[in-house]
Amino acid sequence: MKGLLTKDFMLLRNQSRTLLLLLACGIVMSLSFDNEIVIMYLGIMGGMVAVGTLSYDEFDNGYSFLLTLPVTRKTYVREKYLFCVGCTIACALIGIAAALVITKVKGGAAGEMPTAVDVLLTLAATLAVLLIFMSLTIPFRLKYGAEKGRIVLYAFFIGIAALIVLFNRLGGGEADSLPESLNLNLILGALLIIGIIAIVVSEQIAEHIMAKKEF
Amino acid sequence: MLKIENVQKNYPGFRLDVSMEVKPGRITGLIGQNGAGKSTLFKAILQLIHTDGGRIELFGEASRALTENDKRRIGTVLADSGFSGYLTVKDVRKIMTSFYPDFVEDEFQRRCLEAGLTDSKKVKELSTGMKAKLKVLAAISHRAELLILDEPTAGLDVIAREDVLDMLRGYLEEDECRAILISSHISTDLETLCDDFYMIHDGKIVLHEETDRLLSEYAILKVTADEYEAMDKQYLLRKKKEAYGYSLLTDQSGFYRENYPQAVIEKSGLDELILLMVKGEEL
Repeated sequence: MKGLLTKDFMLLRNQSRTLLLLLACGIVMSLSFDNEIVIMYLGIMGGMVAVGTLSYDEFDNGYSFLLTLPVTRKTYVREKYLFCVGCTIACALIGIAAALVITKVKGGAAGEMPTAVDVLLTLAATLAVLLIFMSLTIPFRLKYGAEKGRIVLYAFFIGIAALIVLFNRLGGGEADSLPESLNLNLILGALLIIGIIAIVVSEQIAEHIMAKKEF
Repeated sequence: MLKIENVQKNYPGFRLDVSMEVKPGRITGLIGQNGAGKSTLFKAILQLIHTDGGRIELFGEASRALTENDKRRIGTVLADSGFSGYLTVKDVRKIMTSFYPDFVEDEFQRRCLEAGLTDSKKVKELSTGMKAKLKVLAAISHRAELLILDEPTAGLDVIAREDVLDMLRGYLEEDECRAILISSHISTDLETLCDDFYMIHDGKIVLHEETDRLLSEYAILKVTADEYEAMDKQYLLRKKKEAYGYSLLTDQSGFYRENYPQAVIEKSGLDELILLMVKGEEL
């Protein structure tokens, strides 16, 4: 596990320019929009970049060699989930720190510190989206490879877009006029629970896929 | 060290069915054409594929899932796979240190520098020879008991090949209980390195021989059709039709030298051996 984590961190570190660019984009977005948007943005980007390490592992028949190292197939899967979820949380935490700094920098009315509830809600929303995304994409990528795995990525974003449209229609285009039964906090809580259940089930499926796979 | 008994793997149009053994203190070569089943056999040993039958005994323990500890005792080089090209030589060193408690980091770094593998170079920027050296150095630097090397010298020039072979000789000299299983399509590499050979063809072992005996006793007889008809054929392994008559492979060249002094008898190198074993007709 330690060796795999070291490998993934090394791969991430070698993309530090891209990561810094992503951080800069997040900060610019926060300066222009909500202070908290950087939390969600960085969390999502962190998770997606972490999932991207699967492509590095797969590239040039990399799995074959990787699995000759002291690592079982099960450990590989567990490490990948741990790494992806860990990266999402770590990046979201960096996002929280960035949001607080941005709020201070903005000052005035826009400089009002986000409440703990706002931050937790944003964190929960980020995690919920990423957990569901990873639950779908990791097993699919392990089974079909990075190329076909992109199909899931596109399907996921189309699904998210469809959900937004659906919510808009339900609320008549105004987020504030959502039906009272569709309490945002409840929806987020439910989504987070669904995300956690999905990631646990997904990890089991991924272990099964990896056990069957031939390299 | 490694014992393989009737290990089978079926693919459409190809069936692997192999028995062989690698003993401690020895370098065993696996030779065969492309597509003969060498890589499939290596993958079966390393459990990268699921076999359809047979038994693989490794370090005295039979057919079970390889544990992380088992894998620490094996050093591997695969022909078509290695560290991600996006990692640097230094990254590889750090990763190996994390994976293997016995990884000799200083020694690895020193040998990398000797081979021109500087820390900052990314694997994808390395030449074919440099990549091969990095793979071999990684495999031999964690005190593995068994090396499984699939075409470690593929694509290398003569000097780079000799460097790699020297590394392997040095590895075995450090501890007599170690063993190496190596495949190569460059026969001269193996002739000077291996203690014994297995030849694989169409997924089956068609020959197993000690190198000394192979180089001293195996020979190719070049005879006319009439000479062939009159010849004692009990020590002939293969025959191949030629313009002048037949080329024949024997594993008892002394017998034919003594009894057929007029026959043209040439020493058989591995290349000629492979050619006749594959293209020749079994006798």
